[in-house]
Amino acid sequence: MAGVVGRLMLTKLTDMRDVVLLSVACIAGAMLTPVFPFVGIPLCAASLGGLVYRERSMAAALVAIMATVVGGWLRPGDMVAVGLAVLGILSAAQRLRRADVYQVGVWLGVVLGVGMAGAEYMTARLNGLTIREYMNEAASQATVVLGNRAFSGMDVDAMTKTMIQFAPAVYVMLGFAVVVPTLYALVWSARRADAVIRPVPKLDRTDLSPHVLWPLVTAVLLMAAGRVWGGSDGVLMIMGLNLLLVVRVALLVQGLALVAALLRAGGTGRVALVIGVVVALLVDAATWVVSMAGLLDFWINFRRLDRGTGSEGIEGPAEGL
Amino acid sequence: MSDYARKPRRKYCAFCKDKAEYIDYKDVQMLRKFMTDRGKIKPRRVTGTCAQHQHSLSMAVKRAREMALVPYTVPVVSGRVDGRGRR
Repeated sequence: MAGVVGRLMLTKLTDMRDVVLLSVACIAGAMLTPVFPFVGIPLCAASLGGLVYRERSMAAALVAIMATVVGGWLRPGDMVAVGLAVLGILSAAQRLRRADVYQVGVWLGVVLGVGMAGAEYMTARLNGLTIREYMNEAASQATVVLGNRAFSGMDVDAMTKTMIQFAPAVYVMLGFAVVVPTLYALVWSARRADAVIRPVPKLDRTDLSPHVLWPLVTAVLLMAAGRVWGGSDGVLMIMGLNLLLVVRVALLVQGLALVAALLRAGGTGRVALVIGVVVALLVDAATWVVSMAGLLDFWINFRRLDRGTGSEGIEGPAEGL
Repeated sequence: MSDYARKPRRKYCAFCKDKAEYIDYKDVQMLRKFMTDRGKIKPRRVTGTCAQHQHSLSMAVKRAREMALVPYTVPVVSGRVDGRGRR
């Protein structure tokens, strides 16, 4: 029976088993996504990537639709998040064959961030609440669970206002936080399927494009304009601060790459590297220092990364006649 | 050709020789080797760089110019004093 089905699908039995297992894993990931996005989305990525890199694009599209339907059936408000996530993963899997991994990461992060924001909006709407009421409820629950002191003594209304003002940056940052394990999941699935894709660089070899600086310039200009025209609560100032928060994450990543490269050059082990990264993430002053070092790293060649397989560096042009 | 004429050396792509995958815009010393004194990018017929690496090199030089690591142009004042020299 299985052989007949296999012949009908013009595929080998082992391939069919893989397709079924990957489909089940993708649907399970979609069910986990609303509750644990850091687990569910990478699981979806690993399974959809497995299908795409085994040249089962049609099966991947069908599984993506099924995953969206199942995710939406479980929690209707999160249908947008699941749908955008699987759509973004499918296109990222295809684009990773040729496009630069940083470009794919930025695109996927924005898609995932928009999906998460859309899910919150849909959930609020389905419960008959406005965004302000929904955020107010979330702030009240957070105050009850964590206590007022955790939020520097802010009252619920002030917290609601802050949450609404910085929601765009928070969702984009959450999206980028999910992108990292998602990209690794795609790379893993490609390796399992013997597909050739662009590799994800290790932390100490990560070097972001200097185009990251344009949002920084825009943020500073928006904040300067907001200071003149809108005051500290004006739209321009809030837009600038949101942009600055997102750019700061990029600068932090560049700075962490620099720290990792310097630690590795100093001959420290992996444990020291992990401790260094954790300290840089947790201690506020260290975060600022590392971010500033990341900013300087766009100009100063601290790391002198070896770009090829050779170690002697480029000698210069061979100018003959 | 006279016996004393130097034999032309065969040109090769310095990046291919080093198997470079990416040309770093921050490596200014290396970039300057592929630029003229006036700040222009040397043509590949002069340097021997392959087409693929010449494209990467030009992108790296342009990026370095944007970051103010190398100049767009270097003004050179002509040595002629009769007023007809090019500036």
